Amino acid sequence: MSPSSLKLLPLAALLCGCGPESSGPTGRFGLDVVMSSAVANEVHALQVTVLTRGSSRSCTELQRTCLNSQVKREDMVALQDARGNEGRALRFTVDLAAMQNGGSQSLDVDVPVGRDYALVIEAMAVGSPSRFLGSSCNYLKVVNSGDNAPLVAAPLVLTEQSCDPSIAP
Amino acid sequence: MHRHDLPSRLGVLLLVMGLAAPPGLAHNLFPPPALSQLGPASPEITRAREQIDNGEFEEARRTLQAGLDAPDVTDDQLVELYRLLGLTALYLGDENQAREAYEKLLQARPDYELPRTAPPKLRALYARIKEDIRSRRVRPVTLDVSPVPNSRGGQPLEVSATIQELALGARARMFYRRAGDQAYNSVDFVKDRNDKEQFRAVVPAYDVPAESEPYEVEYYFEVADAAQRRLAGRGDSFQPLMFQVLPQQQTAAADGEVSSGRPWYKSPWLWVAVGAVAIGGTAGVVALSSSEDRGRVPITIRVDPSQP
Repeated sequence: MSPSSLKLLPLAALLCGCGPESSGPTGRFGLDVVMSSAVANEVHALQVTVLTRGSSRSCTELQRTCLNSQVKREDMVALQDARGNEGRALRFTVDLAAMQNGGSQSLDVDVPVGRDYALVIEAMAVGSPSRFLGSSCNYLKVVNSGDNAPLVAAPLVLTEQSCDPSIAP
Repeated sequence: MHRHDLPSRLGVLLLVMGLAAPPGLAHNLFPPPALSQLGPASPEITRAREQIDNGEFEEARRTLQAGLDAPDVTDDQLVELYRLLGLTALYLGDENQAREAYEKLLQARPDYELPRTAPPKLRALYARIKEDIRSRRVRPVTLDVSPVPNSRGGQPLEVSATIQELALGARARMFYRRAGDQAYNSVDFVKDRNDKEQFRAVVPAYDVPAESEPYEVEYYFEVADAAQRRLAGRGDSFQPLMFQVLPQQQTAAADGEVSSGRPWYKSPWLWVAVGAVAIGGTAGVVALSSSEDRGRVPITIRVDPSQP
């Protein structure tokens, strides 16, 4: 096969839909979280945590202050990020330049297959110790590796509190 | 013809055949996505798929409209109905309706992406619609409401919610029924006079009377547009949430205490056992349907400059 035809193969496979199923986020539910400008001006990192017994929790309450002061460690599910890092809470450094230019940042969190979770994203400001800027709490009815229920994410607005949201992995 | 041109011309020929082929053949070239195979079943969805497969697009369009008008459409069904309606409209050359369908789909599930197996023409239209929505800053309805805690009977039950971007003509309601009843009652969320995003619904006292034994109430929240299409919600009629109505004298500490006079079918232990079997069965299905024990949750973070 000539080099030119080899170049065409991926294109043809893509257009015909003959290739393997995407291993990316396509086809699964996701959270599209909107962050207010006030949070974006100060945020340094985002910390993602998933709690068990989601339906028994009040997201309104959880969003008021640091999660670590409201729940026990055993309530947090062990998570993994795309690079294989594991922990009860995963921390992602924010690419502020990209986001403030109208772009977005994608985070992938692997959650054990299960039901009745609450997913909390906490915005952290740089400093020692870190400062809590606000959080977005969302109920996850079910997580499996197929298609999941749709989800409306809570916006991340400034709810600055003098607490350190850090959760040890 | 140069020899090295042959494979590329064959590729182009295949592509052109795929785009120009009659619907039945096009269906074979572009097999239905996994979503439609695993998606939620409803008589209208099943019938519409058959009609699309047979090239009966006008009939499919009517079937899908009937499906959208049906009561108790779940979010998953709504997404699939709009996806099929968009596809059907495109086959009929009605790009406006296809656009409208995909806008509704994105309203119901803002993160929805077409499967990669979708026809390129469909994917191009979908990408344009998403871009338009972004540039017009059309935002989906968001509903933030906490689960109802166990409550005392014989008094009105008040539920507060935060609803943003509630469209004109849309209604937010709480549906509830005593566990075991067939039909749901509903109460509307009413806007707070001082805060346009704060809403309040009140379940009247006579619907949650105090009794000598505690009992369960099933409920769900739903925001629907003027045509009763679900825009957002928590729980649904098939998978309601639940709270317990406590007797007047019973303290909160006595939650869950069981009377010995309760009929056998109301014993929570029976339902714990049934639930364990059901969860075990579901977990088995999940485990069988996937070789992974983890599911990936993609999270997209954006900055909204309109929010200070």
